[in-house]
Amino acid sequence: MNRDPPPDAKSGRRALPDEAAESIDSVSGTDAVGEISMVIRALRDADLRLQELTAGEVDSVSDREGRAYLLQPAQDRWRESEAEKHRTGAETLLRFAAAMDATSDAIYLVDRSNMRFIYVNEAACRSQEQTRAELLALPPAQVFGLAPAALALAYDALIAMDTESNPEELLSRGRDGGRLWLEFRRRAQRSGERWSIVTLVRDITARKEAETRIIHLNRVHAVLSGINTLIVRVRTRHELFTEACRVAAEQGGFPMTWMGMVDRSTMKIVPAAAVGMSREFLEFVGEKLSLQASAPFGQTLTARAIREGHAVWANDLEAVSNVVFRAELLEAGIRSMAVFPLVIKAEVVGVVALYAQETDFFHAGELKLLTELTGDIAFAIDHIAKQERLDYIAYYDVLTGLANRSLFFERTAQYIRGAASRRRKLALFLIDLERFKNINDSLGRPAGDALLRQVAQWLISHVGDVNLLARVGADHFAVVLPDIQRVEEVARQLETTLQAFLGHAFVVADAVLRIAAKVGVALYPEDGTDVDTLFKNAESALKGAKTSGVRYLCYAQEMTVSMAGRLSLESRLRQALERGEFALHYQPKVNLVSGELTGAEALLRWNDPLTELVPPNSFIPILEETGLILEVGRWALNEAVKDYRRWRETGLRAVRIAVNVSPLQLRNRDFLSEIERALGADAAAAAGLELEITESVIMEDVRLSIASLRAIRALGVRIAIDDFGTGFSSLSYLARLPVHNLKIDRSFVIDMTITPEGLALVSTIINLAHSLKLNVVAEGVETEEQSRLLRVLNCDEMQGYLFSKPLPREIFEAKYLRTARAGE
Amino acid sequence: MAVSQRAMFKFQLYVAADSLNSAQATANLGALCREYLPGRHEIEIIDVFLEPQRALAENIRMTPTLLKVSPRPARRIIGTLSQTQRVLDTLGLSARVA
Repeated sequence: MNRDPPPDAKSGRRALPDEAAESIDSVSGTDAVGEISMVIRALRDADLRLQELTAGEVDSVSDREGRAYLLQPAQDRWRESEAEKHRTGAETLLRFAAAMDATSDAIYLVDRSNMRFIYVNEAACRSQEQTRAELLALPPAQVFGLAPAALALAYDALIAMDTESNPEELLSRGRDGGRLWLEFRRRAQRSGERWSIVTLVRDITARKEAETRIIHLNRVHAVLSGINTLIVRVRTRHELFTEACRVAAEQGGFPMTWMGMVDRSTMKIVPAAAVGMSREFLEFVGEKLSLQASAPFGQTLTARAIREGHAVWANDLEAVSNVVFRAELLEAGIRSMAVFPLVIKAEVVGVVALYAQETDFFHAGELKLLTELTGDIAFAIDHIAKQERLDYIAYYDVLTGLANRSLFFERTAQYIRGAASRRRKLALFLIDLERFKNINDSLGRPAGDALLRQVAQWLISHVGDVNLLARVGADHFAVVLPDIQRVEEVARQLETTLQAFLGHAFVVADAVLRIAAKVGVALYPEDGTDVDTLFKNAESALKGAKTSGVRYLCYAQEMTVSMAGRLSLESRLRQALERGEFALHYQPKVNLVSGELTGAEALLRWNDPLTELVPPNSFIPILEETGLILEVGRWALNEAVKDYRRWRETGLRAVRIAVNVSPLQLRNRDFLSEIERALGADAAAAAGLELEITESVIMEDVRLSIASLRAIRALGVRIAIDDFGTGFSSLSYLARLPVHNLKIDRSFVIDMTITPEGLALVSTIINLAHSLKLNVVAEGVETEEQSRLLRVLNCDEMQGYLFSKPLPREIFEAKYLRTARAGE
Repeated sequence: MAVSQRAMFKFQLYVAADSLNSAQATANLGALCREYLPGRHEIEIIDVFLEPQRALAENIRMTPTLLKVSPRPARRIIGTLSQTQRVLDTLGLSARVA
């Protein structure tokens, strides 16, 4: 308002203010004041002139008492401005439309009476992506995404309150699908009789995100520090995992967490600890998740994190597909997840998965901290593993993974206490591998180590519980059976186990090895009441078994043997042959339909003067092991041929005699000539001989067997496959084998009456044999029921206790060969 | 002048509520002080309707009236203070303008 100085045309006086100011200043004093007062009073009703006098620059004058009077133009302007103040609401807002368009907040003005927009600013149009005309035409309720009634109600509440509403924060989705935080402020304004509501919407996404980030980062920091304290404290991997999951849940607010280790051999993940995860989920992880990219679940976050060796995350589970159990996770309120690999020495050994309820949880900051965290966990795993390895070496045999001597002693001491309190027996076995040193020497140390590992595995699978086993010396293993009811049971089991062990083919350095074992047994409480004594006595028993040639020996029995002069079984067996202590017993075979005698199986018996009749099971394996079987077998063959010839010559009923052939004999180059020698010049002698060869022996080297058997058959000797069903015959070979008889193993005969499958199997074997034109003999027939079923199944012959047990030659001859002849 | 340069200028501006001339005087005084007396001025605004006794005591009979309280000598100027040069002359600040 830079006016020129007002002209002094009317008054002829110099214009105010300057002059007035100066004059007032210069005349300051009571007189001057009095003078002005006079002027004022005089001009009181003529303020127009005063205004002229003051060039319109004065608002008010005061009287003598100090009462101020507002001059007319000032009064007008005052009224105007007061009116302005009260003219809030729509009109004012509209007046400031330009200003409102300049703000980045969206402003909406709604008329309460008709619930229509009165005004929307530029920012509102932008945020709704509408032109102003379009937006103004829309119902506000629709724009705000509310029910019309609800919006009206909210407005009425606002009008009643007559203050600005508290700002409300609202999370919504932006046009691009991103998250959008909005702050709403509303205010009701009256314009005349009408109420209008101003709504101000501010985008506070940036501020909110920053706040959220800080909260999230704080949570992650809490986990980091929690786990770092943990790492210092924990001693086992299990504890580390379990506690880490707990910390993540409690301090990090991750409702679900799991950790797992990578099994490189199966390319699978083994869950190690979890919080909040369902059992189904963990089972799924363990069984179905594969690390191979091409596998069905090879593209999951977990598989990728492990394969790629860095964190993989999903910040919006609703928007991704490669997450297993996604529906379940969403239902549980999970919105984002991240999987971190646990890396030790550049190799991913495990994985940590964290699940958050917040969408968009995992950002650069969180990921960096959590990656650091997983690095710490990996370090702890490595550290614990090293510690565990030290512990492991102290307690385990590194080669086989079995317990070592000290751990075995600890465990056995514990088992002894248990057996004592339950008043049970306990057995301690000490196992020695025979010829192990030879194997080590001839095949090399690595082969020996491999064999030991295989033996350990074999023992684990047969004993069933690895905690009962130990490797206690170079080729010594120990087993403890902590709960024995009957000692006889132990002996029987040991017998079959040793047989199975001998039968097992260990393949080492491309060589097939059959390993014999000697066992020393000590029993609690008979042979000792503490582990040291028991072990010492088992060692002593083992020594005894080794020198005496028996396969196992109990400590107490070892004493008997030592009293018998510590004569080794082997040398006794040698002497037995020289002294004629061996004998053939005959078990008759009969036709199942007619009951007629069809033949006899010759069975080797040893009349040991020390122990009388020794069961074949306990000396035949030794004959095999020592190679004595070749001589004894030759003796048996000759003996059978001799008997047959004698039967014919003495007019007894001469039935064909079946003689068992051992694997060693069959592989012996001279075997064929031995048979020829036994048969001699007597062409008819061959008709009285049958050789029984077990199926497994034939199948060991089928080609060689076929050749040998053909040669034998060419001599006129019949051949039977013994123990049929226990080997692994291939049908194509079976058809080519030059055999006549097939003997069904006793175990099938027993099973036949127990299960339908057993019956079906025997039926199949019989039909198969018949289709190959083989005669079928069932072994070990003990009951009428078995015999009846075999008849039904068209089995040809049977042999077993039902008809007769093996009989000494004289009795057999008297009972069957004479009466048979008498009956003729 | 060295002394006056450091001296604080204290003003009292007597106004009549928010009437237009008073508002202009307030704005003009503010602008003037910011430009010519930066950091060394104090302005007290006195509404004669609210504090008539103070106006009476200082013999203020019209608004807007500017009262220079210090430094001495005291000066008073009536009006909107829109003629900057003349106001500066009256306040004894003109030397600085030249």
